[in-house]
Amino acid sequence: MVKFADLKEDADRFAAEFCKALNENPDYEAAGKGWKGALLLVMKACGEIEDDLRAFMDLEEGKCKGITILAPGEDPPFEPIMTITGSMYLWRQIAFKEKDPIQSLMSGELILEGDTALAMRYARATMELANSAEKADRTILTKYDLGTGEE
Amino acid sequence: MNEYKRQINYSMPHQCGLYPPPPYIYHNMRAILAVIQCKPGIKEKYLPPEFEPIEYGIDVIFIVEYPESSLGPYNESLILLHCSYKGNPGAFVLNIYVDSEEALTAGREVYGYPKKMCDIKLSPIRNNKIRGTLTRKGITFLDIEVELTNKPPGMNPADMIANMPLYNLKLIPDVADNSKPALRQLTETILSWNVHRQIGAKTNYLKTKYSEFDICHEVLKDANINRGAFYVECDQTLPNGRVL
Repeated sequence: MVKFADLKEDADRFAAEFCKALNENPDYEAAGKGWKGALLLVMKACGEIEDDLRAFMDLEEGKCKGITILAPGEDPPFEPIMTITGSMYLWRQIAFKEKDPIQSLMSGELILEGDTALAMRYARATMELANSAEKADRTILTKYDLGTGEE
Repeated sequence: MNEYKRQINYSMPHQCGLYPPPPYIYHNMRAILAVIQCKPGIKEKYLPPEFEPIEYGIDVIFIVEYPESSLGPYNESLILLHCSYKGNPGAFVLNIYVDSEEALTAGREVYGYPKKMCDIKLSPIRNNKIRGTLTRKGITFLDIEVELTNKPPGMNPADMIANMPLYNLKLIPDVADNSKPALRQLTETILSWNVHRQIGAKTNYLKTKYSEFDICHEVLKDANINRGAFYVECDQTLPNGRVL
């Protein structure tokens, strides 16, 4: 089984490159205008992965101020406005554009907790998050056997 | 002595109005809401100039059965285009179809909803699928099927609806001058739901057909339907709106 410590290096690299890709995406900048606060992405363990992976994204005005990979049990630096949870298998499908994030939300594969008003307002920014993920090193999502997405 | 259901001096005819004032309450409605994404560039052709299209947003096909409401039982369908007004996102109501005269008239006269009469069918759940069709003047111009997942949607439908103001263009023609309307108002209404049952879904297909009487085919024919859907059973309240 693969533990958090085994994932950390690839996860940190993905986080850094994802943040950079967001800052270089003018469509995300436009779609994220007015946003101020953090988004917590929870990738639930599945397949051979044993620990959940949580990415704390500090976002402001269409820019990424930083993405922190949280260790199991670690509290986020501050309260996120929104938390989006899905299996790591599903996040891989979203990062590789095999699944639409809105579709995944509607079908119940992704679960959104927090401010729905903001989610509706920033629906397009969600798409641009997925588009930017494509530009990052996604080894973390391909290196391991994620099974069928079941825990 | 005969009793009359009279609504005096609110709606026409003034001595025995066709419909009562809002709020309109709907009990035990069931509906499918399919999120689609119109082809980029198409919405700006059909939105009033005050509205900015949100491309890659949440455009919606909504088909609903109201067994019991303040306006009587009827079926309805809305085609909604995600857009913003002065930076505030909402859904412009491109078309609404109904199958009762009270719903048609109240919607048009009170809110400025662009309603037309239509034969609207929403099937029961069969093999985990629900089909909705819209037929007008002999043409089935919209046919959609959604397939239910075994999970609730990942976003609360009541919150989603509460955060999606309906924007309308209310036009009342002038009796004497055809060159400009007697009234042109932008209006906003916000629905609220009390949800009893909610199930996530995906859209299996959307078929549209050209009709010279409806614009839906033009707007929807190239839409991306892979954006999910949900099925809901709930009570609904439609309050007064406001002029923007």
